[in-house]
Amino acid sequence: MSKQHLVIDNGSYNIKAGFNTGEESKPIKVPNIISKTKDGHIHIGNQYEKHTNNYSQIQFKSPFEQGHLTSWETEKPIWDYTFDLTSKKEIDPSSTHLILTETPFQLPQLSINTDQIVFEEYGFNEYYRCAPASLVPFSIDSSVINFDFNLIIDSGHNFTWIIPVIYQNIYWAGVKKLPIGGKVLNNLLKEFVNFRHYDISDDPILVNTIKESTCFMADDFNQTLKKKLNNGCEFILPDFKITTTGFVKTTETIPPDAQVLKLYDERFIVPETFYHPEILFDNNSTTSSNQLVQSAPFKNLIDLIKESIYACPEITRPLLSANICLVGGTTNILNFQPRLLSELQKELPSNWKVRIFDNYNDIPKDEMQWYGGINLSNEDVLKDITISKKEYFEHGSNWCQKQFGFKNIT
Amino acid sequence: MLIEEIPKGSNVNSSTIYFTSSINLSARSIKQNDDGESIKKNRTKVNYNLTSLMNAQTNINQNDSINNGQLKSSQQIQLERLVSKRLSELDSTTKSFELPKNFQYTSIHSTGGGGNDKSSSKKSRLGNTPSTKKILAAKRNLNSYFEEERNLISINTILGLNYQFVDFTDLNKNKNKNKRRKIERIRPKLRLCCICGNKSNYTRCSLCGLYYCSVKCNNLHRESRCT
Ligand SMILES: [Zn+2]
Ligand SMILES: [Zn+2]
Repeated sequence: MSKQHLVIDNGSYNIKAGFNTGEESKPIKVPNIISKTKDGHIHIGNQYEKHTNNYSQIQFKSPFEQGHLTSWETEKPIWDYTFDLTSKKEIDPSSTHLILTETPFQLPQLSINTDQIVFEEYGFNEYYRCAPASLVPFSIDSSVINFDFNLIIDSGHNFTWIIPVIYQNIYWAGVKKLPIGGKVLNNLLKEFVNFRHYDISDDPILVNTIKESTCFMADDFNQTLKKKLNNGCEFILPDFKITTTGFVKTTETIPPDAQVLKLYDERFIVPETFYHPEILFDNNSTTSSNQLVQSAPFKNLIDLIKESIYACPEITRPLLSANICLVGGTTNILNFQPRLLSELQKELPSNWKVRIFDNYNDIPKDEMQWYGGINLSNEDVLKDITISKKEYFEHGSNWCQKQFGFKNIT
Repeated sequence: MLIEEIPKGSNVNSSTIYFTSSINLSARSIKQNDDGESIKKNRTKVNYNLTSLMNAQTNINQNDSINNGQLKSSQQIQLERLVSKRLSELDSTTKSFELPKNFQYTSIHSTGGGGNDKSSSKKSRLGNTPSTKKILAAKRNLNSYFEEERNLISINTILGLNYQFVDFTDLNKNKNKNKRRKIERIRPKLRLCCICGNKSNYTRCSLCGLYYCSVKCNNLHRESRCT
């Protein structure tokens, strides 16, 4: 069998996986989760969708803890399931080159576990492991965006990472992390809805749907708050007759007995957390009653972007600000890019160009990393950074970790 | 990197301070020997337990008057704990569950044609080598991996990332007078009424600390969500 290239962007929300099949390459997406529905059945990835359309009381078992891949007993069945979907035939790891992503700053022992599974359990023949952001320069349109100097803002399920990538290498000293991602927003929205409306805490999928279909980033928070009554919407909750997922009401034609969730300021207060992280701590009586938390200044997305840029060599800074790329599912929040642009322009020197890209010729923002991996697999440089099974068994897993691992910052 | 090599210089930034004081303590006791051999022996014995390191550091800061600017104040440690507690609350999904023993996915490609002959299918075997067998049966949580990690700089770096968004400058200003950064600008915090979501005039419930905007909302708060 001839050599094949498999790319896995192993996100904690979705796995994006697929082979390099030239122009046709396309990832399949599988929720990186094992679930148990109310009736006690266990499902891998998206299997639960075929089993039932009532997701209340669904339970999740994730291979990840705080973004770190800790549980291979959970991850392996999901990978096996994913591999079946990527290929009509059984995949043959012994003739496959694997490009795999993992979170930046993974605990070294956990990276080693991953390498051992890749080589010893699956027996992949060749392997390259990296942080997802480092693949983005390979998927952007180089006629529009400079691909030697990029500031990647990767807002995913767990966190928002700000990652300078210079000459396709992560500039580790400039990496910043804001512990706000899709999951934190979901849970904050859930707290608001639970207190103001109904208890929806036993249906995390519904919470996610409400967030994705109603939340937006305010252009100007104070003005939007003043006019909050004009910014309301009505979300029709699932009744399992007309709708199984729920949807935002657009016309007057809804059944009279439909259960309606009227949302106003929740829609933009929740995403505002990116600019005012104190919202997370004020909505909770333990942290709201604590004077230390109340008086602590929090840095927001803009502060951390500035710190990230200023941690990079001076000559690169205006280049980074002119080539900022948004990736990850949470950057899909309506109006994320325009708000970020206007805030950043206020804060960065006026003679710097600020360009923030979030439209990549029909590539979804959470697939940029995967397509970057596919393009990398066509490049000659890959053979210089790849580790082969033979080398792995010769030098061992600690050596392998040293080749791929992050450098400690001192 | 070895523990003795941790930089003691002045440009240690807040994200790498995490365990510095305890590191210095252990390094000091080892260094007293001043003998290469015994340092080596001692080093292999040291067990860096995350919890005990954190406790040790808290005690040092409370009882000791060392003021070298590298120690985290007890206030900073307390603040970090509160922040991480709230963040992990917001990071949790619904109830999780335990996978059945030896749970695995059977490939649609697996041979056997309906027969239940497990040995015929490569995929039904878990753990090809002793290391992967161990990994696939580990059932360990993140904390146990942190406690096992011997490279303190890795731990410092990874845990420190979670607090990059908290500005500790004010808390540590007495210790770092000359190193204190200029605060470029103080952004007023957004204070929203816990009942109606409107802007609160920084008036807070005296019992629980949540913000309210009006007498009406305060009364509602007392009836509904005050702890
Ligand atoms: Zn109010
Ligand atoms: Zn109260």
